[in-house]
Amino acid sequence: MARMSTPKMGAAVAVTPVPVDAVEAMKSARSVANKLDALLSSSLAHAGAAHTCRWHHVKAIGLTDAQRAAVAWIIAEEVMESRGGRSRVKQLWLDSVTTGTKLIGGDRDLLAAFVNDVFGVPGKPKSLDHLTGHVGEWLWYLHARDLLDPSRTILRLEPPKFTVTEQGADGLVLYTETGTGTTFFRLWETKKHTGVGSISNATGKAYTQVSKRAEEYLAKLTAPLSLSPGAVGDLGKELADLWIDGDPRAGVGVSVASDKVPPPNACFTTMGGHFMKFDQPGQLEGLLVSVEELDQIAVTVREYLWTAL
Amino acid sequence: MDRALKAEDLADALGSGHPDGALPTVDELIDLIAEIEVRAFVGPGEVDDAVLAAAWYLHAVASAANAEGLYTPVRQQRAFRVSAHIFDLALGAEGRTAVERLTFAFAAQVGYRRSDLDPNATAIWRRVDADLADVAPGDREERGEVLVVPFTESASIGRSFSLMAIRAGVAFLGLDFNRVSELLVGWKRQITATRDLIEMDSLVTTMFGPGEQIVSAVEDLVIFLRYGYGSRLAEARAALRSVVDLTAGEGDHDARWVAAHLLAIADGMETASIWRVLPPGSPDELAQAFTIGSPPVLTLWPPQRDLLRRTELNPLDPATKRLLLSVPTSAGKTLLAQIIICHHLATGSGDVCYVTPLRSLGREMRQALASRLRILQKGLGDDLPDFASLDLNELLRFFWSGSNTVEIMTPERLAHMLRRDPDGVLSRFSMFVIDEAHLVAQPNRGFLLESLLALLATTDTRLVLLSGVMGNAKQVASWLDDSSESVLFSSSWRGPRRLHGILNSTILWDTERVSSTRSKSHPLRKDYDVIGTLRIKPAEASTRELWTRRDSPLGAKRFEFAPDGTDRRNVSSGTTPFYKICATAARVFLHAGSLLMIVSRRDYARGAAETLAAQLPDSTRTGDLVDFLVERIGEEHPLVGCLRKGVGYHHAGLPVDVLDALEQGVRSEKIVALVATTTLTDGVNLPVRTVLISETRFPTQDPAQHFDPARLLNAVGRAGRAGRETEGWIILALQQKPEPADFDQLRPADEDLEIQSSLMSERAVEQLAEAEGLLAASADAIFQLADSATADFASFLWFVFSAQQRLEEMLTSFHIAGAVQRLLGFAQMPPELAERWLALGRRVREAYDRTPSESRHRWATAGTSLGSARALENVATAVAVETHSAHPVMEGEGTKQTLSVDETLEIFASVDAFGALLALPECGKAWTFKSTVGSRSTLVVPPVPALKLWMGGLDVPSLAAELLPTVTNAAWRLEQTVDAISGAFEHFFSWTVGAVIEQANVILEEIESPTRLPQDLTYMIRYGVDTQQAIGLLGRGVRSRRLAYVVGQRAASDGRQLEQVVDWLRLLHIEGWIEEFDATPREIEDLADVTRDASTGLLRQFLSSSEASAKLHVPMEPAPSAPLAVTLRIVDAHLPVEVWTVGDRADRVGIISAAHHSDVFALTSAGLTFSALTDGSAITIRADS
Repeated sequence: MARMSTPKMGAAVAVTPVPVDAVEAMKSARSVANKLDALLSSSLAHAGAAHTCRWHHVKAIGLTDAQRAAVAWIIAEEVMESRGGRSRVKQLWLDSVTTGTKLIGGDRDLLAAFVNDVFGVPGKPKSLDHLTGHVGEWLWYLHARDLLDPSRTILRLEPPKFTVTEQGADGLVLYTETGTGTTFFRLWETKKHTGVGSISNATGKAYTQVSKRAEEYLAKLTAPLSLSPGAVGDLGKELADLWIDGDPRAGVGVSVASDKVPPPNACFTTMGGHFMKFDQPGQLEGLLVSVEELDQIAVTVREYLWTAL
Repeated sequence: MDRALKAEDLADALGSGHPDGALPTVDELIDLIAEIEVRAFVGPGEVDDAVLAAAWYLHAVASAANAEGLYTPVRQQRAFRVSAHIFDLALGAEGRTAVERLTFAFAAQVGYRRSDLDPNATAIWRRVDADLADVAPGDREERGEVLVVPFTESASIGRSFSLMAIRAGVAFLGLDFNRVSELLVGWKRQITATRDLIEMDSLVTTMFGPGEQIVSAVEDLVIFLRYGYGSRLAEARAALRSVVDLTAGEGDHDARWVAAHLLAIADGMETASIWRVLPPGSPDELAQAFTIGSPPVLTLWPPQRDLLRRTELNPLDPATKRLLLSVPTSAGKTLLAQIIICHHLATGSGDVCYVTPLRSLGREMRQALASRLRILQKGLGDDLPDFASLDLNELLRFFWSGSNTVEIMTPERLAHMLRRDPDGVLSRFSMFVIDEAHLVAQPNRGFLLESLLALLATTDTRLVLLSGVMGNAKQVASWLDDSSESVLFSSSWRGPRRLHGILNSTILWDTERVSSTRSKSHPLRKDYDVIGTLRIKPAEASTRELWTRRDSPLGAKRFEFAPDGTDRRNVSSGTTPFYKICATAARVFLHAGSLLMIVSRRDYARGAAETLAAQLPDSTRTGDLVDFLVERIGEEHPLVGCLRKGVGYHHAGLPVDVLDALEQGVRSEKIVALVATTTLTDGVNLPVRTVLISETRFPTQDPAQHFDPARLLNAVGRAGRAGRETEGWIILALQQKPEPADFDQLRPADEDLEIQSSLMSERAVEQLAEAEGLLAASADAIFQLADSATADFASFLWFVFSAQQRLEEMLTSFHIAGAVQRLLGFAQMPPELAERWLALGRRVREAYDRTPSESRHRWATAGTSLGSARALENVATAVAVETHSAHPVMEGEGTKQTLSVDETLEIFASVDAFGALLALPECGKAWTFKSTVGSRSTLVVPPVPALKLWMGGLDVPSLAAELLPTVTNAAWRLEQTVDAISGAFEHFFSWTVGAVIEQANVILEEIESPTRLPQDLTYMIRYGVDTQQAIGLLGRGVRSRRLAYVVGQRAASDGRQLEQVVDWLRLLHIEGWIEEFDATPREIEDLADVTRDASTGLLRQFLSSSEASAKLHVPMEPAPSAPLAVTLRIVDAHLPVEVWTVGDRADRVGIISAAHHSDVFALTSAGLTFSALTDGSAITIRADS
């Protein structure tokens, strides 16, 4: 298991990737059918109540290098799938990784174009903060997508943004309630927490940000979602009103990807105080993703994407 | 106050039933927004988070599609409007990143566009234009952008897909075709490079798919709007839908936001496109004249659409004979006029006469129509003097041989043409468009307009009146034609908001400085600092107050007291005049944008401009303008010094081309502040952010100069021009104690805006009584009426009698005798007053009947009062007799001879013709000179030597030195000379000398003398040149007298006649113009226009057949054996268009001929793309498919 010294405050420390090459990482990932939940433990940490956050805790602690590499690979592959769509980009990358042949010329430029923002290119990496934050968004997204919750069905899950500077929401999930068919939504803010400092700093920032920006996020989503047919369109046009009125069909979620080990048992404890209008059980949701050496996982995702370059 | 901050609108937009604290209350929101508005006076300020959150909530409410069950359309529209207002304010804050600015900009644009405030969306685009292009690599991180950096040097992958969608959205909603096209080229290059790399025709499904599809949709929408292709609209919609439903790709949330709104806006654009608004069957070139002409107009604003779509009395229906369009300033009236005019011309319905009392508006219309008419291949009449006695059109006819023309003129010129040839004028024009028709109520010139309208109303010609807001528009429309209420079209729509402010001066009593004087009665002197107090009304119910800084007073106030401290008196020396205090305060408003300051007098205009200029650093933008003015009016003219600081002043005493240059300077934002007398305020499309009205009334002031409510409203309309700004500030400076009611002055009531005939004014009725008194004593008193409403009335009647008589003699179908009864005054005034005016009319008729028939017509054509007309005829008779006697018929000579200019001036001198002319009341102070500004005595300056120097091409500073050698102050010398040029040479002398020559020549013919006086002397006086060739160039649009003079001299000395000048100039081409005449870039552009081959219609040809040809200046030697692919290198309008072969080793083949230079330049600057081939003598250009 790769270890690094604890970074000192203010010192720039080069983070080295997990010492598992991309092909091996791919094999590890394939061995669990590219399912993150096979590698990470997920549990409902708190069932929530009125003014109290219901939250899940996902842990990636004590994993082997191979398992950590698999986590990174799964994210890398999801990223390439999302970015490349039905084009040849993802396959080009995969072929390069599996054959161990670096891309050259136009192919190299092509892949660079698809990974440059957020990840940068070899020799010219982008900000580690942004990179880790982006990986945190993907961890939330994959958890939200794969989480089985008998009380609700996903109507629409907004895919992660491909940039880190876009000012839109980090996450929005539209649900149908099992049994009643009532539609509702959760607006998510994701944050990363690495290094020293308390997780409550990260959650605090998330509360502030979502309080300040929720109307903007929802306003930007209203126009496209309200054009959708059926339940998505019906819910889409009401997002802003449901939110400001604190309607039971609205809710907020905060996700923190943290490298704090051991992880805290309590989290999101002050969330209720920040969102007083959401006073029904379940209207406040949380996700704590505890990933040992989170920065290293993020850098490893980048490393795997760069393997072809 | 037409603002978004109306409580009821806000309440409706916010909706009800929200929990407490969920949103700011209406009052809180008004208060918060008002605070931001007020802060903006000081400088850009932050927008409170709570306000922004409310704006986004409103944006969401408004954005919800298919939400009829949730929100009413009215609520959604109000929500869009209020949110746009807030985003607009947020955009002004400093320190925002590019992403934030673009986000606010797009949200504001969408809000404005979807709430029918289209021009505000354009104005927003202007503010973020700098954020629309890719930045230099070094700036990337600071700008917060995520860029796709080329990984290797050879890769040319697009750089900024992440912002592409929102940038494309913002650029598109700016609706500036040229800018969008320029940006599209860059974005498409990036998309193509990425497609090439990915080896796909489309980036759909990838992370770049949404950006690609938005760019593609924007291009399709632009092409739809430009060329009317419905299929491109369908393609745009499909592309936008693919982004909304994520089939284009995921992960680009902003792109989805942008796409969803563009989709909704595309639906609206389908109905707003000029292609869809024009009636079916309109020729394609009509829409192209607007969508491709300059500036391109792609969509119409709500009132324009409403008017052009109306079913009854549609302005584009030839059967619509009478219309009155009464809309506020900046509602797009000028464009409506252009559309109506161009439609009339394009559908072959005959010539159009556009009339406006405002010369600056005429110049603006001339410029706006020029490129549209080029596409329509229709003519634009020349800019001729008001009193052109020789038809200069005849002289210039060789320049233009096409049919269907629009003439742009003042009422004075139209009246002059009608007086000379009523049948010709009425037969020629099948439509008259009268702009700023509300000016019929103006003292002095208003009656002329009223009389023209009355006369035109007697005919069957189409008559369209455009006016600002009229309080009694219904009555005026009914006067025009009472057969239908639809004769009137009115709208209260306007784009930009307006913020009202009142500026007062405040004396700082605690700054008292005491001193003593020599006066025995008032020996005690006290001086105080003065600052400015600005009250602003950001919302209906709130007024805020701001003060200028105490440590930078705007001026001083001085009082003197009796020894015991009583009997305080104001002292003007040591007290800063109020207009200067205002001018100093004006500096504070400049940070927000350009400023127009209105003052009451010419000397105040100069003084205010100098005061403002003194506070500013040297401008880097006025260099060209300064060069032009130095040449035109001399280095030491005070205007030149002001312009060096970016400040100008504008009044009727300045030459027309100088005024034109100043107006252009403001439009192009080279001039940051312009101080003007009232001449500028009516109807000039000056893009100013702030209007500051500083009126000073004084006892001797002409009431016509008073700022009446209509004029005030018009000045208010200058603030925040549609498409330029979303908000304008209008500041009324009042030298009085502040009162809450002061703001009411900026909102005149309907009754204040009623249009009344000037015959009903108090002054006119007094003059009528005076005339009645005079006529009771003597029937001949009709000739004593001068400079009054009665004189104007009498002259009009005289003209009607004379014209009717001539029309009857010619057996035409026109019967204009009823024009007198058709005067607006007779529809408005009480019967007893009407009877008094009609009684005066009968006395005119009696005088007319007593007058010999040849004199009747001469007096009718003079354009003066009857007394002056009679005097002019006497001068003409004396001149004719003297001519005949000084140049008797020589033995054996039977052919006509025309005297030279010098000989003519000698004749004039020998009969003291100029003495007689200067005595006419119409001369006014046109030829008055004083040794110093304050001097009470005048200097005698003989006109004939002055005229000779002027026509001899002498530059203005030298002319000033020759005319006024005893005036030691160079600036004052220059200013008076410029006044004289403008008032005497360019107007009074050219008009009256022309009239005298014309009449004298008729008399010479009657007495069978073969000698004639030169008709073109009047134009030589008008333009200050001495050759017909120079007159031809100036009449055709060359603005530089210097250039015209030099070219004219050279042509004359080489023996080239006027008709040979154009060919000669074409041969010289640009290089020759520089070498031979030292032509400047501005002069080159003028010559290129003069030498343009209008008969080819290159642009029209290209648009209709996608192909056109242009000659090479010099054919290739040897000619290529087969057509050779070439490319055009075009840098600027004043540089030759170079033709080069294509490929790595390109050769210069030659340059485009002068005859086609201007058209080829216009074609490329219109954004039309093409490929080109040459056969060695010409190039053939074909549109890119």
